[in-house]
Amino acid sequence: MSKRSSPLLLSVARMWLMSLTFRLYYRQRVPSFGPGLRHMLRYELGRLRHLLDNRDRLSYLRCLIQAIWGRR
Amino acid sequence: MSVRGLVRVPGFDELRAWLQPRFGSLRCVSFDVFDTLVSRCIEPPEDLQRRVATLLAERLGPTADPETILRLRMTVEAELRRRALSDGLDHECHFDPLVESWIERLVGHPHPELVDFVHRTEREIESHALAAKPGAGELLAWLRSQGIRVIAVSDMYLSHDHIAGLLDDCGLGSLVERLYVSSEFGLGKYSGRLHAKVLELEGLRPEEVVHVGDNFMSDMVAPVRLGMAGVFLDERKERLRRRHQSLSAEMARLGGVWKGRRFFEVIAQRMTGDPATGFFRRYGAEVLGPAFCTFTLGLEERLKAFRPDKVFFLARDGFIFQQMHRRWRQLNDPAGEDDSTYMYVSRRVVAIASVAGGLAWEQAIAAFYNPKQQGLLSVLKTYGLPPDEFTDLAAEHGFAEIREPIRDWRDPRLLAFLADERVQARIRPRGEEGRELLRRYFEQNGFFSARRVAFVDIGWNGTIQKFLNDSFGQRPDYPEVRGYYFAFVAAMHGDCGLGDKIEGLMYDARRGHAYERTPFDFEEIFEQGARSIEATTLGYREREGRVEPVLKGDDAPDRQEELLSNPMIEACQAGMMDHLKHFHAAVRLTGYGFDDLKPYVLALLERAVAYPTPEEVDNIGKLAHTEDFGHDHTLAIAGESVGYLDFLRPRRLVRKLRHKPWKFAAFASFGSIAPAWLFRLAYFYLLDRRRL
Repeated sequence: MSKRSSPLLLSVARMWLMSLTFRLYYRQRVPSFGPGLRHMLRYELGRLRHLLDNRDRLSYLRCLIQAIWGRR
Repeated sequence: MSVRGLVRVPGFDELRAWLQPRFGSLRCVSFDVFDTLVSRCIEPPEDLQRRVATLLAERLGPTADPETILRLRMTVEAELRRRALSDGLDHECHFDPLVESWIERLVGHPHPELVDFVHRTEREIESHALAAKPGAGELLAWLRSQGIRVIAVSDMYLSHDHIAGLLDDCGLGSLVERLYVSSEFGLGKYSGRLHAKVLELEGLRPEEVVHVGDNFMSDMVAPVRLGMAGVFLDERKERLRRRHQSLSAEMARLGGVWKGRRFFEVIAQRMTGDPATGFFRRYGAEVLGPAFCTFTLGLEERLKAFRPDKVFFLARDGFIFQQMHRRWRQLNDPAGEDDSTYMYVSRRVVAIASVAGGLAWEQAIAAFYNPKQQGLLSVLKTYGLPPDEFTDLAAEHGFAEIREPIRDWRDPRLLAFLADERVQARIRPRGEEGRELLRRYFEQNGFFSARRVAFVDIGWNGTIQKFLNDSFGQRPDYPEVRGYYFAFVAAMHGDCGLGDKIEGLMYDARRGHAYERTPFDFEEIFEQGARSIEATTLGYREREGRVEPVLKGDDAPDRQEELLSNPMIEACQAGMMDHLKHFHAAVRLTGYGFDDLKPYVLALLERAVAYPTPEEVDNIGKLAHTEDFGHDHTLAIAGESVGYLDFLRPRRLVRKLRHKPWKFAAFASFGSIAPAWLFRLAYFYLLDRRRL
């Protein structure tokens, strides 16, 4: 499978950066593609939590250790 | 890795390597179904139940509340599961009694028609959501070829036939010899009782079977307890993808750009199994496809409200929109009627008709918007007037050379030329002839016999709609016409005096929303992506009692260049149609509308137009862009790139970029986004001060 990232999926940081030019120049309070700083933070923290939370593999390791311990 | 049957594999390739040496003692491989053999493009799975509840609410009428309907389903399901437990079975329930009981409580009596609707809808939604995981089919086929029995075991509330149908839809049905579903037995994998039942029904000993699945407890620990080998399919990337998509679903509830982002995550996931090949097909599928499909969705919403008798897609840039409109209707209702007509019309033919009463200065200057204008020659060509017939009168008014550009739009020579009655007397008959042919062409296509007509085109100024309105709007049988455009810039004729009868869906200058402006910053790529491959319409002629269009000949130099671009355009449009298939499924899955998707699509367009990749610039630069409004030349889309040293001479840089249709392309070669970002900011400033 190709490792090329799809242009369909923009990172939230990129969206924020792109929307910043409009915010800085036009200063309009209209519907925009800016993700919002607070929302962006919430999303990135969620992603980080998912990256760190690997409970399935931890459960597997726990069972594995128990099995090895039982074999001794 | 394996200790006493505890096996973890990170993917199908590793699973195959683990299985191969065990073929001697192995008789059967049993697979979990969901997230093992097949995966969903949308998460979390509960959202699919929410979607079914929403569609059921739509069917029941405006007073039905989807949330109440969904809660009722969950209540009934919980009751059925409790009852199964009290009957000594596992915590399982079956879809058939669930739906019957749910509908009965919802409408107060048994309703077989609604029950059937829910079954069909749930099946349709799951079918849109599911796809075989890459490599799953090949793995099953390989096992079968080695003489290993392949079965599937699923903990699922859906019926056996329902899941078998879904496996068929994913192309795996014929590769699975037998399917066991927890709902049919009231026994689950997690307790080990379903695995034990399967062993009994299959007549196999535990050591002859390997079970593979993504759930650590149900697919590894439970079978291992029975003496089977349990393989934990530990695809971390896939697990993260599912979790991220669930997070996106949470964020989508906040609205704004998040709904669109979630929507296109669904499409990106669907497209991994169907990757586009070649730059232009990919560009169509991943860049222009989202924009044009979102426009199509907006168009369908508006057509549903306006209910026109006829939908006219205007040549040439309305071509792809007609293809998408037809396909969309077909996907919604394969037996539905096609209400669309492709109209061979161009700004040029309506311009000819518009001078039936003579050529006014306001009309003449339309030719000067093109930076490559050739003065009076461009004016005459814009209105289909043969230059040879006017050279003598032009010379009398001081035009030694009629192709000399006119920079002062109020040039006294031009004003005198237009005020000359002899000039107007030569123009009017041409205009009257053009107007009569145009009227007959529209009449034979049912324009004047319709009450409501919709025009669909790329935009930009609504010239065709305006000229038609100016020419025939006074007729009593002139229909109510609404123009739906990808972008409406309102530059040449303001809003054409048409108010809400004209609308730019992605961009409408009258709204004054700066964030929408991106399509206006590089119109050419949208025109190229949307256009048909035939030549532009120069006029009409009568043949055997019918009026037919006259297209520009293939021998014209600009047409020659266009012909060379056609294969690239066709590939791009094939990509867009690929995208439409996924887009339609994603709309069915999420229920999102045009307004939900537009903010994110504007971000996608901003990325594509203002921050292109070098690959995009190289390839799009190969396209020849032609003008059909009185000019026969082509426009180079992407020019030379700029370097850091150019920033030291900003005035020269501005001059260099001034006449480039795609100014941002010049910044693609930098390794960083920063120069393009700074230029975008400067661009807004220069634009406001009319320096670009």
